[in-house]
Amino acid sequence: MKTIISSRHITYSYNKKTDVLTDVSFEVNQKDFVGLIGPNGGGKSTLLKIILGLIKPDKGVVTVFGEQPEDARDKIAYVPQYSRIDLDYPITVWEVIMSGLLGKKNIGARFNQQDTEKAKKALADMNLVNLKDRVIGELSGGQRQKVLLARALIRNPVLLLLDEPTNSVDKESGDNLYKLLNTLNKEMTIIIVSHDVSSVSKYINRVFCLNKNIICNQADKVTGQCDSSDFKHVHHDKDCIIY
Amino acid sequence: MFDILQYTFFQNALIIGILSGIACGIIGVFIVIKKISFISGSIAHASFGGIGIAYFLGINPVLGALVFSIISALGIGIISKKNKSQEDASIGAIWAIGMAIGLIFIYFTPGYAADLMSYLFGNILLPAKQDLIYILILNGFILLSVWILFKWFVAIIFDEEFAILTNIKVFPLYLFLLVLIALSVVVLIRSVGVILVIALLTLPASSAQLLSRRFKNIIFIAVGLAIFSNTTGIILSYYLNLPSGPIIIFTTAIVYLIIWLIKNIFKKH
Repeated sequence: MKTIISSRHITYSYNKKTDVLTDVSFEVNQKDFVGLIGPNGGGKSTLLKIILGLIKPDKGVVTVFGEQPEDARDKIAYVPQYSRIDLDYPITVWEVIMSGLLGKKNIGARFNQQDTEKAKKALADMNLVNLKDRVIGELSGGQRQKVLLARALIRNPVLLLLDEPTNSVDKESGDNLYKLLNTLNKEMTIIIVSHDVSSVSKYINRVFCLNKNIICNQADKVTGQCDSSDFKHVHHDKDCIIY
Repeated sequence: MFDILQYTFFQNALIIGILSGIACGIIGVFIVIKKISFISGSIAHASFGGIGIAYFLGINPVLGALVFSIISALGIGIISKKNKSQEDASIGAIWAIGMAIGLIFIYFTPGYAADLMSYLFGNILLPAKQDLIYILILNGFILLSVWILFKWFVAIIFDEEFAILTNIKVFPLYLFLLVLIALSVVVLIRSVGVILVIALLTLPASSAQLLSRRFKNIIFIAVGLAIFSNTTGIILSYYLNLPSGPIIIFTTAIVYLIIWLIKNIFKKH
């Protein structure tokens, strides 16, 4: 099985004082659907940032597709927590989705027919066609989440990272999102950061519980990976006990 | 009433008013939406350092303002990137240091700096043929840049982190946006002066934001409001025999107030 992400003994601390991650090792394989859970302050967001190459670990090595994380960005798409988005920002659904393609354009280049076709397909896939010209502030939480997902998917990623995608989204939208991710999982590797992993548990094949380091009840001694073939219920407390 | 239109100085003033309305309408929207009016205020005040040095050297003060505003814009951009915790303090420091440099050099300049006040508070009715050329060039540059980079600016302001992750050159683009702010400050010095610039950069854009939620529409409305405020202010300042800067600022403020009141009175609850 092809390894997508490899993390070897990574350590990270704020200002070299407060430990956030200590000796974190794991591997993510192709077509995995990983649930990354853990208490607040357990380092989930930090780990995500390291995988994305936004910050560097103090010690240890992370490779994504065998490369430095920042060199692998073309293959990765990231869906941020939508609470980070400014709801007053004057941008339409169409403009948000098209912005996913900007990084591949030369500065000043116009969008071509192929780009518009991609965006139309993304709109259709996400069931957003009739919201195309709406401003993001006029959408519901679930719709906004789908727009951010469409912006990520228009880049044809091989690895999809989502940060708390069901936060402040109603249950039905959340369930629909997970069904959608399950379909996407046939083509791509997915990592989802969530405190509420029980609703996603029937789709994920592995779970990492992170509290400074990865703790799980059935860890592989060599790789530190959690064997999670069967998660009917996934809960965690500060000790990351999974049952 | 329109007999004043035959005077060249008045025609020049109106042209400057219209051109600077275009620049500040466009750039003002980016400032308001990115919430960097304090940074823009700092760039504007720091440009006074260049005006002072230019006075001392006997060259065109607009050129001095241009150099200083660009340097301070780049300085703030680089400091805020390298050391986020120092950003706020450095903006304030650059603001005051620029003003201090300007005042010292004007103190060293022999004779009385007659139109110093006009650089601080603006006086568009002073004859300024060569300023018109500067303003025309800078305005053209600002318009062209925004036309080319519009989508990129919208994307990096909307979600900087996502933009970085899609390999958009976020930092150079942000620095360039700051430089465009510096250029629009220079365009506006004639009409409102370094101290009042910030109001003309933020008020028309804020008014426009009350009226639309589409980025391009907000820009068009802001340009319209800024041109209206500039020309109204220029005409009023002539008839009231008052400096143009404060009158233009009052006009933009009254326009904002009226739009705000109308919007809040007619708002459906």
